[in-house]
Order: sequence, then structure tokens, then C-alpha cells
Amino acid sequence: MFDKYKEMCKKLKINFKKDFSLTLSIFLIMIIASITLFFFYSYITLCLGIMCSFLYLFTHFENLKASLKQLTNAKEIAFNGFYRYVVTLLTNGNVLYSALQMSTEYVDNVLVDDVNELIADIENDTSIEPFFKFMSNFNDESIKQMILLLYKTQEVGIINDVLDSINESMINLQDNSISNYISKEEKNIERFYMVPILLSALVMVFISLYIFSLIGEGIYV
Amino acid sequence: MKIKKFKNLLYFIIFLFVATFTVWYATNSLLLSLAFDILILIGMIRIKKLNTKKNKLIHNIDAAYNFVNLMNIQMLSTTSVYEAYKSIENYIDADFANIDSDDIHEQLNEVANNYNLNSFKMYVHTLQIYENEGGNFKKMQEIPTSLCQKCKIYYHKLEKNKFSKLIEISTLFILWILIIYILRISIPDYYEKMMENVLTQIGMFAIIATGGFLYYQAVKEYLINEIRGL
Repeated sequence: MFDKYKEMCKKLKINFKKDFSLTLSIFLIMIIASITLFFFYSYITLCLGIMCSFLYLFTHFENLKASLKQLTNAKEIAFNGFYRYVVTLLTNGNVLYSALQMSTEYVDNVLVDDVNELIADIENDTSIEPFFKFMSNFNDESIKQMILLLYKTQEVGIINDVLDSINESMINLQDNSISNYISKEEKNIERFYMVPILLSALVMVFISLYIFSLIGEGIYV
Repeated sequence: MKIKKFKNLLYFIIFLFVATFTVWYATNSLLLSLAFDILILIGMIRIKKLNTKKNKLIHNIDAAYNFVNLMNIQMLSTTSVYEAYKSIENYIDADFANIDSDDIHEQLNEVANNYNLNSFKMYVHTLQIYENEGGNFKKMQEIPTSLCQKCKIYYHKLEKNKFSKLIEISTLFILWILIIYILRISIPDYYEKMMENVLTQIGMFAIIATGGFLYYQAVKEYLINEIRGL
């Protein structure tokens, strides 16, 4: 679990030591405060304090996870463009290493560090290992297959037919990610359907409370 | 153009009048209704800015789509990007005007960066790669072109869908306002008595202001469109 936390921080480019010490300090302060309150008030404050402290830890890790998911999603979308550039450069007769190097000029900022890392790794290690490392940035299986195909082009040479057939899967990939975004955008506005209903209920409750208090006053007078 | 501006101003004045009357009718306070007017004015200024931004995005998408389609047709008969650009210059948006042959790619990149559309940036990069590295342009442009086309289709579709949802939400908000009116009319004595108290006046104002703010958020949600990746 600790390794996973470290890995998440590394991928999100967060200083692990700083984040860990800050989170732990806030958590400990909250625990100490709830224990202190326990001596002055009741055990309920202790329970509430401990619950809040753990809730803080939980939300912190959930936020990290959500940020990582967003980053992965952004990288998957940027991968489409990157892959297109590499395939174009490969079909134009460049070797994979120079195609990757040339593609960094055009690739999206969110992916450029990972591509540079892949280039540096390929320089030292010609095995499949750097490609596996690069793959770990994505969740989508078809993207992982595409990366393996890139490794194959390094080993065997350019396989034009295979590269061409990838076009179709790339278009599907784009369609999926765009459809996901559209439904997400539509859901954002759908949240407001409930608002007028809740506000109507609130107005009713507000007026009812006043009327009941008036009736109550009438009974006691 | 002037008639449209006048029409918009007229709609705004009617809306402001209805809102002022509603707040005054619900809270019995002219001061609170004037305070609500100030909030509406602030909201309207922000909405106008967002609307301008949205219109600019739609304009950029249409201009990029037009450029990509015409460029693709011209690139079938020539291998020079500048030559292709020159023959379509009169039919594309003014943003692409006066591009020199020496720095055509830099200027196209600049337009692409201003447009901030990934699909168009990809297309411009493809033109650059084609000119520098060569290759089969027909195949190279397939994905960027399909992305530019999808960009236009999806953004227009998203805007249309969001607009119909906004209309539904607006209807619900109007019904909510009607409920306040109905309550005011059906129990006038209780309501009058209730609004004699400053705290209940402020309470009712807070509910209406919250509703107004949340409606503003819904309009904002309609105006902000961003499909990442396109």
C-alpha cells in the first residue's frame, strides 16, 4: 500500500516526502485535538474527531486516485496524436528511435516527459522492458497493444500492413473517449434538475415552520 | 446587428423587471430586490463573457473545419503546402489571411495555438511533417481530418443537447417561482405577517438568491463546453 502511494506521488509529480509528512501531521493534529476535546467534553467528541481524521485520510487518498485517473485519461487521449506522428515518421523511413525523438516536437505536454523517458531508456536497454515501463502510464488495453507493436517495429522493421490496420482501432479509441466526455458533460448539467424541486420543498418547509410556530403561539396564549 | 442588440437589451430589461418584482413580491422589501438586481447584473456580465468565449470556440471549430476540408482537396493536386494555401486563401476565414511562404508553418501553428483545438493542432503538425519528411499525405491526414470533423459534429451535438436540457431546467425554475407566487396569493395574511419579520425576509431572500445562483451555475455549465482530446 505504501509503495502504491509512492508510485502515485511519482506519477503525479508530487514530492512524496512533503505530501506524506503534511498528511501525517494534519492527521495527528486532528487525533490529538479530538483526544484533548475528550477530556473537556464527552466521548462523542473523541469518536467524531477520530472519524473526521480517518475521513480526512480517506478523502486525501481518494483525491490522489482521482487526479491519477484524470492524468491517465489525458495521457490516453494525447497518445492518439503521438502514435499518429510516430507511425507517419516510421512509414517515411525513419527508425523507431529517431521517429520517437522527432515526435517529441509535436507531442502533447502531458505525454512529453514519458516519451523522453522512453527514449532515454531505449538508449540504454534495447529489450522490451522500457516499453513495459511506458505502458504503465496507460490503462487501456488497445494502447498497450499498440506500444507492443512499436517494440515489434524496432525488432523486425516496419510492418506497413499492421500499422495501417491500427488506424481503425485508433479511430475507435477516439470515438470512445469522445463519447465518454460528451456523456460526462451532459451529466454535469443534469445535476441541476433536482435544484428547483429542492428549492420548492425548502420554501414549503420555511413557510410551514413559520405557520406552525404561529399556531403554537396561539395555543399557548 | 443593431436590431439584435436592441432586442437583447429589451429581453434583459424585461427579465430584470420580472426578477425585481418577484423578489419584492416574495420578500416585501424593495431594498432586497435592488440587492438582487445587483447580483443579476454581476451574473449577466459574467454570462456575456462566457457567451462570447463559447461563440469564439464555435467560430474556431467551423473555421478549422473549413480550412482542413479545403486544404485536403487542394493537397490532392499539389505537394506544396503554401501553393495549396494560396489557392484556398479567398475561401477560408480571415484568421488565416496574409500568411507568407517563408514562415507558413509558424503562422499556421500560431493560429492553431490560438484556436486551442487538439485536432487542428494535429492537422497543422501533419502538414509540417509532410513538408519536412514527405510521405503519403492522403494517409497522413486521415486521423487529424476525422478528428476535425468529429470536433465540429460533437461540439454542435453537445451544444444542442445541453440547450434542450437548459430549457427543461429553466421550466423547472419557472415552476419554482410560480410556487412562491401561489403561496403568496393563497395565504396572503400569513405571508404578510411572516414578511413583517426581518429575519424571515432575509431567509426568503437567501432562498431566492441561492436559486438564482444555482440557475446561473446551470447556464454557466451550458456555456462552458470542453471535450478534452478534440
